[in-house]
Amino acid sequence: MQSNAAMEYDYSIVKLYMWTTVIFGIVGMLVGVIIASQLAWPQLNYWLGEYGTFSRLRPIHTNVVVYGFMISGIFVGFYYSAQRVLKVSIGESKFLMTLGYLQFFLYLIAASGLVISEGMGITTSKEYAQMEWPLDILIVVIWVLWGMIMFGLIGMRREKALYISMWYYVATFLGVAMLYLFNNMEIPTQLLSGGLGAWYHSVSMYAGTNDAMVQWWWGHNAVAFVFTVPIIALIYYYLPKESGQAVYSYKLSLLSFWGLMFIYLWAGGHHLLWSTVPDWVQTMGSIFSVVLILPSWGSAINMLLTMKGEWNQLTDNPLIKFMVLASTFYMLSTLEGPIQAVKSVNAIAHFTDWIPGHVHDGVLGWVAFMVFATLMHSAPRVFKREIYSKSLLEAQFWIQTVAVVLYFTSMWIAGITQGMMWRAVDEYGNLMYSFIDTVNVLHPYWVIRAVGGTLYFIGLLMFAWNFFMTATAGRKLETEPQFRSPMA
Amino acid sequence: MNAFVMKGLAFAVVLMIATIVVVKQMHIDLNDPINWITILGALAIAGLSFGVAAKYMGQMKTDTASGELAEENWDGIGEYKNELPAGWAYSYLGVMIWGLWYFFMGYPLNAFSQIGQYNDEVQAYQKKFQEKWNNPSESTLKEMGESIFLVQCAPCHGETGDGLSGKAEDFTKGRTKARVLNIIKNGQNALGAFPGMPPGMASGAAAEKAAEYVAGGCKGKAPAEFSVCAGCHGKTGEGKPNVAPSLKGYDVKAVLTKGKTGSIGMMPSFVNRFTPVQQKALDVYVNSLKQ
Repeated sequence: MQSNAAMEYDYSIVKLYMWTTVIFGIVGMLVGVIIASQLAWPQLNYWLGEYGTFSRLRPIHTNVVVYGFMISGIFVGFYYSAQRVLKVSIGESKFLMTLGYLQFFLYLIAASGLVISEGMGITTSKEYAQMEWPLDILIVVIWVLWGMIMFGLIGMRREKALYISMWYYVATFLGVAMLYLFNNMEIPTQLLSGGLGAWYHSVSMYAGTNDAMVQWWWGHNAVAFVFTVPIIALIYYYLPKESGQAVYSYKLSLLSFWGLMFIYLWAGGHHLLWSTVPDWVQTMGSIFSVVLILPSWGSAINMLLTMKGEWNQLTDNPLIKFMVLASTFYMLSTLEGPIQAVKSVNAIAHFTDWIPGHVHDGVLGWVAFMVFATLMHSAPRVFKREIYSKSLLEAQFWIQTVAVVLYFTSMWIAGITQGMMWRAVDEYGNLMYSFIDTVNVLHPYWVIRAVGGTLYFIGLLMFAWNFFMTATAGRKLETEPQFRSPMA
Repeated sequence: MNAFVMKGLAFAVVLMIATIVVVKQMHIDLNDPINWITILGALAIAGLSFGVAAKYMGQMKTDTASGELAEENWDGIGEYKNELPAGWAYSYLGVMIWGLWYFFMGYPLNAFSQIGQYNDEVQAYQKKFQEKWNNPSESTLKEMGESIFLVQCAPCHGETGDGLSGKAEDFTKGRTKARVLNIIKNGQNALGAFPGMPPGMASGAAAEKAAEYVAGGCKGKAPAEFSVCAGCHGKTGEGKPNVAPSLKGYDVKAVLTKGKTGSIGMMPSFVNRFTPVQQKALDVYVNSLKQ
């Protein structure tokens, strides 16, 4: 066993990403609450002209929470934990430090550009790939810089073997790089049109069904390599570190990792079930989705078993609560998704509220909980201060847990009802309900969702306050805590 | 089974009961395979997720961590060399074998066609439909007609058939005397199924008399003034195929076949959208709407 006592790590880039995590979290989730309310009370669409409509705000919500909040949170986790598990400080290399700052500032420009351009309605209209070509190029540069930093750190490392979290960071880098490049193959319109159209617009290199298949190869794997793979990297570091428990099984980590890597990439076809893509592509998407349950559950089980016998920590430490519940919601969403990808179930689930319900038990319960835990575990080490308030963290946990349960149960019931109403026929074979009938029936559930979203947002504000106070006013720490984060 | 698993399963059961209660209120037929497979799927999601997660929560309380530690240690994090959980490992193996079988043997490349399945299902349904409604009574026809009307016609004609304030024909008013007079004066060429009617076929008191008869639904003996109309529309306004429509009510079949153009707008043809029984049902229903 090696001693960690002598190492000093450089957290200056971690700090920058911490603030963007908090700020983009507040912006993205506020817009989320607004659009959830618009679905419940449509008159809210008209308060800001074109800029306040659902169609304008919805991509801002998804992109800001994914590429603002989550990616920032992932970079916090990376710049913090990679240094530590590789036992090398980024500060040891002036070159890597410079790249790190450059990466952050380019990221800030790209993320702000994303918000502004989508607010103006500039979009490629591909879901989760709405950015137009100038931003796409910028993002490729940011990603390449990240890769250089990661492999630079790996090259300088003092630990011989790479920790599990590093495998997942490397996979995130490679997966997103490949998928992003393929899906964003586009040509600026003006190059083809002889000067017609705006300079920032582009056309996809693919057409029709091929475009749809490439889009959902990406769309699904944005879920894989942004919502899943890097978040597993976070939990493999932060849960054992915060609890002081050794990871349950190396073998389970290994098999889950390679299983996930192999299987995830084939499952995207399930977004196009019962559409015009070839039947065998749909079948393949369904099968791989079902097989995917096991490697996904493998990581979650590994984490839950790591906490074997640690009931006291669960009741006593809100950060452990966040991470254990995150594993549970990870299990829920990685079983729910594959079952929704079974063709018969998809005939009901597709296009209904069950889908956003499924997404949100993943992102609210799993991703965001892990991001909160990441920031709060790192904060005492980064700022050398105690966490400002344990009770606030505890209250945040319970409020947000209630919020997630409200969100996913309401959308579960609403979606199943909606799907079944859409295909219900009377004894003469005619549809029993028109679209507006479903709207009337589902309205109460949309109100519940808006309430759930508001509660979650309140929890986020509590977190932001707690984090801000920790960074600025928490009690100063003399020595770095080894495992459990100190909190007042 | 420990208390945790019971609680996890209880939550799953409550969620499923709530789902089924809501769905049942909407008169959903749960015998439909797609519906019961979905309910079963939902049950599997809730039961397995909460049940299994609760099992591991329970282990946090009752079990203790053990095993041989690996030599490496990263930032104070160790790793046990524990074996795979057996349930997980065998499920993984089983699902992989199932996947390989399904893709390469069960349903390889072109074994399934969704268009083929759709066509088969439609054909089977049509057959069943024709057998079931081979000789429907008048009241059944009216009910069936209403059921079709609400889906296919109501978007323009309104749920009550009132034409949504002039957006389409108001079936509740039918042919008023004023409208008939207007047609006699100006002619009519709205129905693609017929050659059209020239303007000025009658005027003055004669036109009034004929219009009254038509507005009344061509009941009883036709007045002498109707004879000019009878040339095309038949002795008592019953219509002649390919010449002129019936005046006794709406010639639903003609409109469905060819569509209609008029001062309000254009109605598309619905040809091949309905079986003969359904067409008859619509005819009965539409002609029952006049108040």
